[in-house]
Amino acid sequence: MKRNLLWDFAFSLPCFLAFLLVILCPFFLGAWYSFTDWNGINYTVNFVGWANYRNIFSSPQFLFSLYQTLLYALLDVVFIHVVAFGLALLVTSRVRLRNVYRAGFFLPNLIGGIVLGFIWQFMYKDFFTAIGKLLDIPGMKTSLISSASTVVLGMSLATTWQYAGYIMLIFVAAIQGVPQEVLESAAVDGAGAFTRVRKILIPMMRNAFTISLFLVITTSFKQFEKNLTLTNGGPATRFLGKVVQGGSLVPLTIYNESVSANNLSKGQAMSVVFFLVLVLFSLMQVVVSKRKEVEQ
Amino acid sequence: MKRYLSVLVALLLTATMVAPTAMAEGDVVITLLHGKVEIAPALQAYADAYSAKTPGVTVKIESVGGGNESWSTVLAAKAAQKDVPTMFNIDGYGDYLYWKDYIAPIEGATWAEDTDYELTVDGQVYGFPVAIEGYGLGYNAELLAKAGIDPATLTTFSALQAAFEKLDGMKEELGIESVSDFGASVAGGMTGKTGNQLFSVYFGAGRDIGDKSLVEKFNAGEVDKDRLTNFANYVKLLADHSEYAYMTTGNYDDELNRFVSRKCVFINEGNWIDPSLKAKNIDFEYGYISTPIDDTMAYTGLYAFAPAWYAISSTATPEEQQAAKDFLNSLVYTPEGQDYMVNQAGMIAAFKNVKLSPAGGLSKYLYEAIQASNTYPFLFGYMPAGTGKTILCNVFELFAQDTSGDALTNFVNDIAAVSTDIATR
Repeated sequence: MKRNLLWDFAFSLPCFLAFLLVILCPFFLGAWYSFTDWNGINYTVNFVGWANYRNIFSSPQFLFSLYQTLLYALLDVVFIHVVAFGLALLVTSRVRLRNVYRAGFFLPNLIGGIVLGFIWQFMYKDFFTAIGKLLDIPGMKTSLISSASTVVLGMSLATTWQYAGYIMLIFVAAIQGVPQEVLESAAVDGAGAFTRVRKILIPMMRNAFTISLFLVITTSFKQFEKNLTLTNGGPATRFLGKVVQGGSLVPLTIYNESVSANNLSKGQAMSVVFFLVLVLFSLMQVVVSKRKEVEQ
Repeated sequence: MKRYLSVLVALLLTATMVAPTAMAEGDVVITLLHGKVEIAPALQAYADAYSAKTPGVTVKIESVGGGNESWSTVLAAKAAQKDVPTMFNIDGYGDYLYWKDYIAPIEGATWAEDTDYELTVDGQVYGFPVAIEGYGLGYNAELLAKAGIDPATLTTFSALQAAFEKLDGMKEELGIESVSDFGASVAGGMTGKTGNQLFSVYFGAGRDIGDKSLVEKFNAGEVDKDRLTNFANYVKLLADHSEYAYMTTGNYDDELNRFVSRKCVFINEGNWIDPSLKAKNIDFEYGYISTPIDDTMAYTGLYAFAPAWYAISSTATPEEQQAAKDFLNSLVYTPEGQDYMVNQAGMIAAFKNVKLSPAGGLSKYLYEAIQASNTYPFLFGYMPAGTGKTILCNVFELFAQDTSGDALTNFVNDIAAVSTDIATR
């Protein structure tokens, strides 16, 4: 059958319209609103130029959120990769019950973010502090998420608990894709377990790291619901002379600004800046990781 | 032929994505969107009875969520779809400012004469007070009696301070962990308790029920430093006699549990906790005192306010608006409406002509205070939306984390800075 423009157009229209309405329109409308004073519902929308952008770059709350978010993403990347890789090695080894472990480690990932936030808030607030007091461990008597200097660590540990199992599955697939002959011949040549992991396994599963890094970075940056239920933005701290929410990552700060304080346009300006930061990080990460991948 | 049929199907599929839904015909249908889920069954029953009794009018109730965030989100979504309900609730003057493009003045509202709590802007009535709620310093009457303290004498800051110190010295004897129960944890969701409710003490303590001057000044960037310092000392008194871990990490449930299980003597709450305390099987007498922030007068009044108002949509047709006004009138002036508000929904009616009194708990104290006109205004709703729950709550939490050294001065300055920020926003 001859290709027909009308046909092509007709069949791509539903998808294209959906994409246009749900992704493209909101994105460009949002970018436009960041240059206005729109509060989200009022009839009159005034153009205010770069005022919202100037405003957010002098806002201690936004800057502190950005800093905490970068720190959080960094901690997530380190913790999740270390834990997930360790777990992946464990469940691909000859250890007994490895399939049970595999399912078990993946299980926390099935708990939704909102519920997980509440669970971990309870864990930090009542459970760990009770153990800390019982065994007289100095660092464990107060909740990790009750101080602005440790709250990001608390959030990151909860995320690791949830997300490491998921990344583990990606690593497991990658490890199983590494040819056994290579590993065996290395073993015959006298390479120890550590050397085999470092010199063969890790270089040969670089493409898995590309994916996992991308996933972890984007999920960390976009963290919202767990942040909301675990810390609600708290605890408070002082930054640049102003009282700010110490445990509020950028998405929660955007939400508070747009929805709770009804400054939708200012929240939109934050979103646009945050979008650019995210694009920058994703591109950098993909370019760097791709360069290191090994063709098999 | 078949080809064109396929194209047609594809286009039809596309069209369904953007086609508007058809409207129902017939009766004047009015919708009330509200966020107070605990009264939803009673309200629904009343609306059904009202619809059955009133020919040509059908009242539909939409109840949304538990927190006050959710109804506004739903309403915003409906506004975006140009489907604003005939009546919707707003939580404060800040909400009024946000929604004012959608709010019609309620002309000829006779009930406005029978209440002090309607929402009036520039002489026009815009909001119907859903109920009255109240606030004060709740106390465990049994423990106070055991310590030989008469709550009626705690009307000045010095008296309260002396009582706190006495109770602090009797901790073991009374079996309590702390005297007061000041929860300031943002993570624990206590943001409204501090940033809205406790901060309203600064605006309202000792003031006339109609006096909004302090909140108006606050919004304009001006604070009364002396009064604010007194208020800070009051907060410091609460904080210094609270259990630290609870204060910095606890949530609402912890707060009520601590009070019910006699771990503390005082609780910073309002009459809305009555049903929860009852559900937790509270087994002692409890009551309310005022919030004495200084020694300049005897503080005896409780705080009273309308936590929500019903507004009528300006996008509704004149018939719908009239039907909505009639519905609101029926709440105030028919026996069924009064019975719904007080007995079925368990609220304190905001109207003087409603003589039914609520049963038990802190509500009874509040009802008596209202009848005796011994009330102070509770004005957090007059701050711009989000001020208390996203900004001031952090100032309180930071103060709770450490009240020593310069903390008190910083607290006062931080609040003044918030006021300046609001005014220049």
